[in-house]
Amino acid sequence: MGSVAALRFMAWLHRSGGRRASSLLVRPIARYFYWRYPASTASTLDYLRTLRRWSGGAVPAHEPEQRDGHRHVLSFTINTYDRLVAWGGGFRSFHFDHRGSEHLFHYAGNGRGGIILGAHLGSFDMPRILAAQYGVPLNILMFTERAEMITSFFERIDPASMMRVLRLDPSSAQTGLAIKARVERGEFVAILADRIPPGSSEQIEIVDFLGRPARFALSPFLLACTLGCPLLTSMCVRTGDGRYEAVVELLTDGERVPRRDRRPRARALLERYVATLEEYCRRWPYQWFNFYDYWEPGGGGQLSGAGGQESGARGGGDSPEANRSF
Amino acid sequence: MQTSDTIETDLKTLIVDALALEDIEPSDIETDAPLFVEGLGLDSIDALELAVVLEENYGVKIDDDPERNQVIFASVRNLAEFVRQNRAK
Repeated sequence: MGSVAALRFMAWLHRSGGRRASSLLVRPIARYFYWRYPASTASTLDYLRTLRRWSGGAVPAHEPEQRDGHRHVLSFTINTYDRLVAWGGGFRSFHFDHRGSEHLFHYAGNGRGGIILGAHLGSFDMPRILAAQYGVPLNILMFTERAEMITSFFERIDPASMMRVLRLDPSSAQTGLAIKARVERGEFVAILADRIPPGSSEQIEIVDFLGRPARFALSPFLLACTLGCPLLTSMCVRTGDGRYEAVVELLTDGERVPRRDRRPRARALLERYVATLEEYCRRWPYQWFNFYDYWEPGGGGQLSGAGGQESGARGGGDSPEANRSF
Repeated sequence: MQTSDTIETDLKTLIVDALALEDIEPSDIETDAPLFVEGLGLDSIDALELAVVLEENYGVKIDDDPERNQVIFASVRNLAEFVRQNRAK
């Protein structure tokens, strides 16, 4: 796989050339992305305008324009670059601040597993690397056949990694059983809960995100309620050059919820997860990395007169940007 | 000692109760019909629920061996066979 070689090269460039060399690479790449994917460009402006309206004009502090979209894409490119560098062995060149990781250590220390919810926000690789560093058994749930490729990719970079990729088919009845077994063994299962797996027959809930209705999968929350296991959120944001902050928050300590109460309880947990996402967007507006039409079409609250950006963009997870994550 | 047939009847009741299946009586479930997707149309969360209830009721342990689970959850008959061989209570 050529990307491993590219990755090692980037890690080498980072070590030998430092940030100066990296910024030479990153800016042209971001510029290319920005003009190559017009639908994504439109989606970032739509996102920033939605955020601005939701935050009462506070974030961003001015009406979003092209250069803000550019900044957003550049932020994504830097993030991707850092992820590659980290996986390529340059992990030690980053500085990490922690908040709330005691939750994780508490459960891991007691042999109690749980479900960790992440998002395509900030650097969603960093928690995996941190988990490997601290010996927390973490499985990453992936819903594509690419999961196979990703596993071998990570294993080649870091064979000692405690991180495992769970290859699951969202339509398979076995998904829940696979998660149950790992949680009961005291392991953690990480799910990026801000996107709906492609082609799944998931239970979908519509929740207001930044003031506009968006679709979320209820399954991760139903799983936690059915298993009665701890449910945590984990986000890792870039706070400066080579600096990251990893934050773990506890949504519920976990109790088995009777079936009749499960749906409303799962919905309430989903709403808290979405509220967490909103606060991150407010604090770190340029680290939300879903570059496609995120919101429900015609779901009310749609921004009119926003430059007609809706027309070219595709919904769902099949836009080039949406699929570019690991 | 319970016969396998009784376990099958019990399992059907358990499935309907645990999964709160509406408009389905335990006797409507065919012993050899598939439970998931094309059969009763149960999903991943239902499988999890059923596994938890089976463990509580019969003291069996359901692990994450996909091939084995494929067989165990194929039908009520297979489930009953699994319970009969592995039950602790």
